[in-house]
Amino acid sequence: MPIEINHVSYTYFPGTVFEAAALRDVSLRIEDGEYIGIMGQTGCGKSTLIQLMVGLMVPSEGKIIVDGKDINERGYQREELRKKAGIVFQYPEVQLFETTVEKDVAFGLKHSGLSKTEIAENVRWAIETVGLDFEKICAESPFSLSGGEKRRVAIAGILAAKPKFLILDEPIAGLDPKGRKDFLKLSGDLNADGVTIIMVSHNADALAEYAQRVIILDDGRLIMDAPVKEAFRDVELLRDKGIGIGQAREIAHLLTACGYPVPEDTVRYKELLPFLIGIGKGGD
Amino acid sequence: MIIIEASDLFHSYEYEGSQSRSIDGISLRIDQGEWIAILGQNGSGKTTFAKHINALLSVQEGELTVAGLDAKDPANAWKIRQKCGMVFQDPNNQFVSSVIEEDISFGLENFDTPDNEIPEKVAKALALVGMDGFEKKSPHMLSGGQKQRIAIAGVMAVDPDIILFDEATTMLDPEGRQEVLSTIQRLHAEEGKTIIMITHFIEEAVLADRVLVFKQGLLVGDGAPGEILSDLDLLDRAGLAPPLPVSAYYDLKKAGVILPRCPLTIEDLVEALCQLR
Repeated sequence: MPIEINHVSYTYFPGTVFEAAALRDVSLRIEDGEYIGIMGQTGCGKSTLIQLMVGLMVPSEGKIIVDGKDINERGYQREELRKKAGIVFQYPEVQLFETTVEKDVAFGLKHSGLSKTEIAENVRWAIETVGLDFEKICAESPFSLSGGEKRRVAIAGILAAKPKFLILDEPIAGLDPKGRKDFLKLSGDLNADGVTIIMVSHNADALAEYAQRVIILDDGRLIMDAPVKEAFRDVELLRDKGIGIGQAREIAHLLTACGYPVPEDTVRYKELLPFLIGIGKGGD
Repeated sequence: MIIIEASDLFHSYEYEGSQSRSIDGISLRIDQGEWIAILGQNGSGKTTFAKHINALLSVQEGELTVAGLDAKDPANAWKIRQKCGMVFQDPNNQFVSSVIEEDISFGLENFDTPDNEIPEKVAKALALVGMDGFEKKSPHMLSGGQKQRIAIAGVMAVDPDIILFDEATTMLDPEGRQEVLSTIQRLHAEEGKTIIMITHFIEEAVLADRVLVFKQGLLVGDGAPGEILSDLDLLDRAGLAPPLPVSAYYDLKKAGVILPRCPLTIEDLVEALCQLR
């Protein structure tokens, strides 16, 4: 189900002294099965964009078309969209509330129309998919878990509905290195299974590793929509806009300045390493 | 001069009758003016330890002295908090007022600072974090980095000897992170503050004088960044990943390229490679 954003603008508090444009004429298209990274400084409009995509807000101007249908048109069945789209907000663990992990994960499915057996199957699948031991954890209180486990349970609650596209807002902020690695791998695995992933992050290294395409917003405007290897090419522009470029790209850039020709589309460490070895062996 | 001394410190949290030990016998000394980075997985006891230093948690077992005050004595809690301020992860959760100068005055008022001294102290604290002129503004209109700097100013107004940062850069964009790190560097170098910084960004630990590694409530590593951050075995045991330049050093070594020393920063790595030429 492709998502089309057509000339979308959004203004908060229009006509008041607090009027603030959050998005200005943004157009983009997301295809089925893509893994997209969204970057930009705090306040650039990223969160506004993802909330518009799932119909939590209505654009001031422009259209959002999901699966060929305008989601803000009269008569559009919103629940259709709700079933397809999963959104994981920042710090999703603050939304846990049930008495057991199993109940918390199942909550979103209560009115899904699925049978009890189907719900139980989905819940077990979701908890296992996020890397937790179902038998061990299902009867525990979500509040007795560690921070990393809480986040996984919260994400399992979204996955249980088997969304077709998953929007993740800074999902790895506050996780330790192992938690970050595990989570990114999970997002990659889901994507390999056909789930469209849209991930908002400041972490250029993570996006370089997993995303196929990167979208960059600056002051409400779309300033980049390119394959990941192209997106980090213009180091000066990104620095100017306060966007991180990732460590591998940074090293490649510094080496180029040093007189070693490292291609400008080197964004991953494993692509960089052969060049480092080549330089080290003096083979230029 | 020793400013923090812990010996055999233990702490357990109780949840629905079951106990889990969060710190499991920590002994260490921190000198005045040191910049300490604490690394460790989620649940390794970093924050629990930090909250002891600030007297947000009381000592259950063991000894802890902060700025010459016995943390076991509840009567010392306020004095300890005056000596030791804490900056948390989410800047939005730390504001108590919608006007910046009132927000910064809050700590001073709580510590019974005479009214006529407050404006000067607020102005000084704002200047320290490079936010002078923002007295009458609202914290909600600021960027993430600016919000954290206001939170730091609130702590600095009370003029503590020790400042704790609990993942204070986690929620910030790259520019905001840089603003906060530069502010910490200044407080350390120019104001001589003792800095204790908990972080999941191993690159930030490179800036510290000394790195502590926590694992399951135990201190498993304690040394200079160059020593700790290049110890692959230690980092692996603690569930941490080395900084990328350190990984590159070992990967290069495996391929037969020996750099003169193990680089900790991207700049060090590039310089070392360029010198091979």
